[in-house]
Amino acid sequence: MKSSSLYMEHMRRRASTHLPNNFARLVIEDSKHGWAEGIVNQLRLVAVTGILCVATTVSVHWMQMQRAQQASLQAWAATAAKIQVLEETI
Amino acid sequence: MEAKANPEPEAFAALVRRAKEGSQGDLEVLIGRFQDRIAGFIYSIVGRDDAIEDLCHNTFIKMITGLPRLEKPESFEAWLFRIARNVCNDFLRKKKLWRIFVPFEPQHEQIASSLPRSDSRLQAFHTAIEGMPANQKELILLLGENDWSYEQLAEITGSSLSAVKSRLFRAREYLRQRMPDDEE
Repeated sequence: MKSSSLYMEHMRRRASTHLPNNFARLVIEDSKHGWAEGIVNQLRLVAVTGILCVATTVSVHWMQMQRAQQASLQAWAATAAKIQVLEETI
Repeated sequence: MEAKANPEPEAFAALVRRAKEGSQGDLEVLIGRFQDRIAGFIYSIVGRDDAIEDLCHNTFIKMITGLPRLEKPESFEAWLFRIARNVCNDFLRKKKLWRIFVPFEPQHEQIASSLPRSDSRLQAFHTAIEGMPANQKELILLLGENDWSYEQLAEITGSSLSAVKSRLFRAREYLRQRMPDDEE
């Protein structure tokens, strides 16, 4: 017998003691629950991603609005100052 | 070798087909037939007995979810070993990353201590394959597990036929140098 075959036989014998007697049944049961769990997890992931997207969009929009408002206010203040200077010269 | 999984190819292909169609009983038979071989292969690759059950579990869960997409029931065995190999590689990749933070754990090397001390041939073989590149080692282990053809080895490892042949040639040379009396 080849050394590799002997070695693998030893591996198989030792590893098989680490599996429970009803291993096959347990795996099949888990695969059924896992399917439902997988869908729930996917839905959860979709929901979290959706919430994050909405939150990001809202906050970016809010920041842009703030910036635009501030720029308009500054422009308005400058125009008002110019108007005042003109009025004084008149 | 003890575990030849499919002595009658036609009956075996029919079993795979029934499992593929959703027969729970046949699925259970299929898992039962391969669980020890897959466990042994996983143990030989990862070298940790605390990981065997989880990795076997993942392998067979992937088998169940992937079975409806398996086109050729005849290639089931190689396909299943390919899944097990990929599960092991994912595990080792994660462990490698983890070892950056935890450089050594005693459970990293359990095979050596599990081998019978009186069996110098097994000890020598273990020492020899531990010094081999991983892609050569897996081929030697697979051939110790079953008499796979080159084509099947290529399918399991996701390599080309020529890559398998050259890796095996180098691996056998390596073993011949370290174990000159062995018939590997």
